[in-house]
Amino acid sequence: MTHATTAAQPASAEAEGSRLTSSVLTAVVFVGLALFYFANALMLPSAEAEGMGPKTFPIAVGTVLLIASVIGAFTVLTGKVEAKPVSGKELLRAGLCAALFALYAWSIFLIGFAEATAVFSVLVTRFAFSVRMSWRRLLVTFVGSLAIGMLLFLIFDVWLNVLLPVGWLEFWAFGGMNL
Amino acid sequence: MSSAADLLSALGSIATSPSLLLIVLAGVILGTIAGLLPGVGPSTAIALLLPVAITVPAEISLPLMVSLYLGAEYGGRISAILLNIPGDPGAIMTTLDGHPMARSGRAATALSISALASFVGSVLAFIGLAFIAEPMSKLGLVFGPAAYFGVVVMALVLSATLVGSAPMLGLTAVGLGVAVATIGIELQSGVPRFTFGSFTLLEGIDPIVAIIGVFGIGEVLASTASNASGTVAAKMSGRFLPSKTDLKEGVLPSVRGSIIGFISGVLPGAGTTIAAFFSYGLEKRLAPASAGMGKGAVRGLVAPESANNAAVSGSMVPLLTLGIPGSGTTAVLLAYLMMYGLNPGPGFFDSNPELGWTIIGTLLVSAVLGVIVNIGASPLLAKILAIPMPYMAPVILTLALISCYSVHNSISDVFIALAFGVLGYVMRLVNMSPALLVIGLVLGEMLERNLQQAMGLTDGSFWAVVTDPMAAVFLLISLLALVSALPWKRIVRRRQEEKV
Repeated sequence: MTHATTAAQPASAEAEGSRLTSSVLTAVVFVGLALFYFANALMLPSAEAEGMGPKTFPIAVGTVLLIASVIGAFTVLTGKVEAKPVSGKELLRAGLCAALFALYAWSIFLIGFAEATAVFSVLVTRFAFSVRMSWRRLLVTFVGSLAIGMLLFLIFDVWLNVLLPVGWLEFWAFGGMNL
Repeated sequence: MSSAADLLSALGSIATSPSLLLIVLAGVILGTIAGLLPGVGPSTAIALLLPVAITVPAEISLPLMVSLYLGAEYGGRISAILLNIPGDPGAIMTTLDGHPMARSGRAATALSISALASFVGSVLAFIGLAFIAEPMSKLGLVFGPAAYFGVVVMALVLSATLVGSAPMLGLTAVGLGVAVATIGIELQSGVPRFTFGSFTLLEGIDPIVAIIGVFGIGEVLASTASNASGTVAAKMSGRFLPSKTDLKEGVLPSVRGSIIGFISGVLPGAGTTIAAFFSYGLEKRLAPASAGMGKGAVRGLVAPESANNAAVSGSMVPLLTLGIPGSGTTAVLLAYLMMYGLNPGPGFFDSNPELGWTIIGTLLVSAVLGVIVNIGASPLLAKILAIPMPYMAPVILTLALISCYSVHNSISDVFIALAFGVLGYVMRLVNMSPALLVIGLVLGEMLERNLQQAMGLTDGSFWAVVTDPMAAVFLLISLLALVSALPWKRIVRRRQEEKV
């Protein structure tokens, strides 16, 4: 019993610590965005003719946003709203997933849509979700993702006319379809 | 032509058109799959279907989206019953009695009886919608810009205070959505606002891009932290069709749930979750102790299920008649309608009778197809739950990329969606509903436009706008909602403690 209590204490302290991380992060993001919006709203030109003009509405919205976000941040930081515990590792994984998505969006123009999709899928599964994969599993995931990428290319680019970047594989597979 | 004749004509055209029937069936199946997968949900699925929507006319894409929405409410119960994880927020109360029922060896019965309850909820709410849609739409015509301004404020405040963890956080999310709506050229003066020299931002941020970001990308980012490997699905066991006793026990709770669901759906911001919450609460109060609520009671399962499906039709009332979304998913639907240049609201049924009634008719056809698919293919659908999120996530992100890219064939939209995805992730850390940001975004433009018009009519007097009789009623409701959402109980308790 004593052992269980002792073991639970650090875990609880860790959970509290990580709740603080998510509370602080949320408070900083929302108050920061509200301040940024309000400051920029103040710099907008006033109405030159009759009517509300371009400034009045954003200032009103900015004021409400600023007040709500400050009170909201206070309720989060004082623990009146339950924040999800988040560890540094989890934040890193989410950040990595976002970074990989940005790289994916950029790389489709370099290597083609299906190829980029295959590489991206493997990287996200392996690193952002920390799934340990054998070489065999990795290859299966890569080939499967490539097949999904090709299928999506066929559906969206060839059938639905959403112009996706063409890589060598797409050109080879659908080259005869007036791409 | 009368409303009934219009509706019958729409139902006839759906029933006799094999292609439209196939589209509705596809929507129901896609929706059921989206609903049963925890974290996907109808809003994400509808947003991800953008590339399909922009290549087909509204007459095809809107029935697809509406059937998908209803299908998702059917699907949400499958993971709630088998995994104890609601597939969509509306199914949260289904876990309370659905999962214990499955654990006690009646999983198949729980799935079939909940599908029937969903059907009852959908059909009863469809009848309600069919009766009040057109009169409400005509009533909306008497609203001037000031009254409309009041309605939008009320919708925003009710949404902020009813959804999510805290009213001020809700108001922050809604305010942020309205703030995003002000990005781009201001139409009256032609002045660019918050564009920071970017050509991409001159046109403003497309709601669809923000929706894909906060729902699709945000959900995947949030799921990187969760570990679903510890969850064990209940086995498909028990008799497939419910017994006579089960049916008898479920009839009245289903009817009560349907009525509560429909009313909750009509209220802006309440939606499927609140509908399920209220209906379960009512059943718990009405049930005798021997009913075993929370331990696998039929009434505890059917009431929230009928309510969340009924809320779908209910949420169509403010969407189609006033142009106000009743839920996050109807906010996405509103963005689609606006993309097609259709403006739902007063007079919508006069200007687009065929489309309006087709949307309503689709709800009934989807309800019928939904119960068939969900009873017939339950074992097969349950197998989809075995796909782990690490393998599902890249597919969702790939679809998100295609959807954002297809808006303007521009990669900038993908990066904007990513920024909204990060915002959606941060919102989820404190249980802020991303739907609130979307509601603020789609209503923001309407709020400013109506305020401008109202002030134009009153020689620039804001006081005259807020004291307009109709506007004043809606603004008073907003104020009451805001005041009642404050933590009075906590303040009173603290004072009492101080006195003691």
